[in-house]
Amino acid sequence: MYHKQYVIPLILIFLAGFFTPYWYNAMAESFGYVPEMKKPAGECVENKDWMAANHMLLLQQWRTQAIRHGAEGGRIYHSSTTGLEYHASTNTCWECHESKEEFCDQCHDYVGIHPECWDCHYTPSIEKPHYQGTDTLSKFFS
Amino acid sequence: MKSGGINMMSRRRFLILAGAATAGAILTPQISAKTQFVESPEEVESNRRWAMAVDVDKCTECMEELIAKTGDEKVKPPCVVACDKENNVPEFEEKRFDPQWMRIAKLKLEKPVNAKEFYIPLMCNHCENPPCVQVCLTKASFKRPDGIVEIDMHRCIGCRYCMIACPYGARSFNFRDPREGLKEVNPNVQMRTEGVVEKCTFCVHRIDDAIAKGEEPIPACVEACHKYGKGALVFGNLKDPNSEISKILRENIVVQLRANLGTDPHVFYTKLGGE
Repeated sequence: MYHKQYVIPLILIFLAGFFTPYWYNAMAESFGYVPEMKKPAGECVENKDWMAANHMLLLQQWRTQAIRHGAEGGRIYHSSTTGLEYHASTNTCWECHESKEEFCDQCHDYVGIHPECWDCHYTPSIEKPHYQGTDTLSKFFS
Repeated sequence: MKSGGINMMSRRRFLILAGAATAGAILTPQISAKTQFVESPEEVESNRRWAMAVDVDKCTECMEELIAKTGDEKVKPPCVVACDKENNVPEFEEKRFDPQWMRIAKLKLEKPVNAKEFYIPLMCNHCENPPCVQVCLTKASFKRPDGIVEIDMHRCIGCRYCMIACPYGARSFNFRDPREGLKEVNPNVQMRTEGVVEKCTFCVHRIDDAIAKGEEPIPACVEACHKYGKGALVFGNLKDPNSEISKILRENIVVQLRANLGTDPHVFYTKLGGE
């Protein structure tokens, strides 16, 4: 082999770089940062592993149900894990997951994605008073 | 194929099977749970058609009283305030940025005798043939089987064709992040974002809730109108012959706005014109 003294170290460097994800993940447990999520208050609509992989699919289905099938009473989501029925709404999520920062953002910030859901949808971290219905308008009109 | 007497798979069949196997491996399993429909769209269409009736006399009376009391020509009546708060409609100082779901218009009836001024509420008319839905590029605007014209904000690209198509000017565009203009938040209604069009939905969340519970739905403006105003607004189901709105439509001369356009709007004005 020609130029052994250059080629072999370069191959080693290439391999070290090529397998970065493997050794990085192996070390992440002890050295790196692993996002820690707050334990939700109740049981999730589907099992944990399925939700971790497919929560966006679920939200997409809920979106279609909530917007397109509201008139037909189609906002009932039938869980295939527990068999229970849930109301298809993001507010159903907030019943158990009390904090966006301590749950959603943990992973999303870690992998550097920024879903646009909460540009519009309500989250518990919005620090504005809640509207309490038409009864509260009596302060404007008597 | 006759060669050798062995039952060989044809090339065509092999390719189909190989393709199906690859597709099966690549496509991840989608959600298995099915949407449960309580009713079919056809059933909904034959059972419910939401509409609103406005008693212009009472509306004018309420507005004149309110203006006399506050001395402000542009005062917001209970219906508008309730709508804004219920649906997270923001309020901005600069009027050209300010989205409006419901507003009050002052009209002048110019007759030689008995010239009269009156006030009517303007909102989305939830047309039977909505022009805004026809022009929507992304199918974000759509008409539900119960007659409510709704916008899917996820699909809205903010092209504003619908605003041009709407003969009633019922739609508003969000030029700014609406959260800046919100003092209170109603968690049951989503806020909007910069770059989408919004309009009155007849408080669709209240309607769906009420139908699921088997109650009579009532939008926020109608509730506030009956509580703090003169009860000029009536909301109800046109397909139900015993509902209050059906009676009003039978017993009064009702006016639809710009009925000549063939949109068949479903906000009806009674006693318009002073009769």
